Amino acid sequence: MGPFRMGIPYQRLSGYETFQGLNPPEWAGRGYAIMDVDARGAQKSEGDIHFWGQQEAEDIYDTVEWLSKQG
Amino acid sequence: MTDKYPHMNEYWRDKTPNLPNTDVPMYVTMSYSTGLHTEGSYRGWKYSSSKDKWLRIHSTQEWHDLYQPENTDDLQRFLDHYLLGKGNGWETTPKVRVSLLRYGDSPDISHRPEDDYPPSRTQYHTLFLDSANAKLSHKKPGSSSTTSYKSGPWEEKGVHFTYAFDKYTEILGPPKIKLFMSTPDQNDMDVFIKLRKVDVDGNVLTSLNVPMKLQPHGTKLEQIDNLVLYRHEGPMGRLRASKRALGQDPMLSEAQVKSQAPTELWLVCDKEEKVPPGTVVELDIPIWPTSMVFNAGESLRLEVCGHINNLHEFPDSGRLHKNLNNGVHSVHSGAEFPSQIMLPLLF
Repeated sequence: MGPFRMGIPYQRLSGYETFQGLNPPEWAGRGYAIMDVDARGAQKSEGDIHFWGQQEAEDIYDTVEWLSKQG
Repeated sequence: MTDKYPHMNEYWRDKTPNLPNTDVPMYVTMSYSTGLHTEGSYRGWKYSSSKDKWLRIHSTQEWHDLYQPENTDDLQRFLDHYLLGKGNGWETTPKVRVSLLRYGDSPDISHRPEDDYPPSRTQYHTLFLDSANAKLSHKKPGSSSTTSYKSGPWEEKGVHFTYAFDKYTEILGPPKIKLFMSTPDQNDMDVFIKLRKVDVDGNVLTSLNVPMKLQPHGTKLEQIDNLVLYRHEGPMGRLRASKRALGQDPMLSEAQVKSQAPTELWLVCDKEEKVPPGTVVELDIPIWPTSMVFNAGESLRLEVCGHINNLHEFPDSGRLHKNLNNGVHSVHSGAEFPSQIMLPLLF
């Protein structure tokens, strides 16, 4: 969610969703796992933030490749 | 960083995605009202190479849209089809679903299937500015005229040009504008454009990004925050005169260039061309992809002014925005300086 409710009732969301992110319990019920990844340098990830660009694109690529091998 | 690197260079190119490189299935949402994402959503959808891509233009704020149950169901059908291989008929979903904003009390039009955005049946109409009578018209004004505004003060509303529709008309797509402008006071201008909808009684309307019926019970219209999150006044355009050079996005294929709407513009941003004081300069300004619906008797108002003129992301954040303006800006019209706007229209 964001800093304002934007007409979304409290009971619609779980509080586990990140900023602008999908609601994990709802999607778990639909058969999907939600993973919120901290970009390089942000929150609990190490390194420096690159503010988009090629580095973040490659990080996302690597993350998807890794995830696809977790079965 | 714009102070350090004022022109396109390797730093900025690194931030610019090569859209044609994207070829995976795409579920794309877009809105007209965000102050940030409209152009990127449009270009990301339009210029990817993906054959399987769906565009849903919604009429509400994006967080509001994201958590609506029917939209969650829609996204799941897409994901089930491509990730889980379910034969759920997703591929029969219309490739383009648009919304249209009617502004004021009129409910929006949503989920309307079209063959493209803007649709292939779109007619592109040019309206000419007349600085003598503050109107827009299909005919180029015969005599030259000029109108001016003070570019510096926050209170200054700029100059306005209106057009009254004589029948039901929809704007659907990106408009563009060409202004012939000058200033005697400086060698550059920051120009801010906005399109507004005006009702038959002359009231200037806004569009609500969260419908009243989905606000907490008992909410009154005057309690809705005057922020870009909750209200949309109309599409914007901005240009610094010295950065007016037009070009073509080098990443696009020949076929993609051919597919461009006649109202799409690409600013190169690779050089600075100052404008000698008093010189009339031709400014081509792209306006955000948009939708506005007009009934007969309702009007479009084109606003030109010298400071940021949209609602703010947070209370009182607007006046923090600085620009280089100081002095008088003039908008020229007529045969010699045919200032004009081109609109993508459906009837």
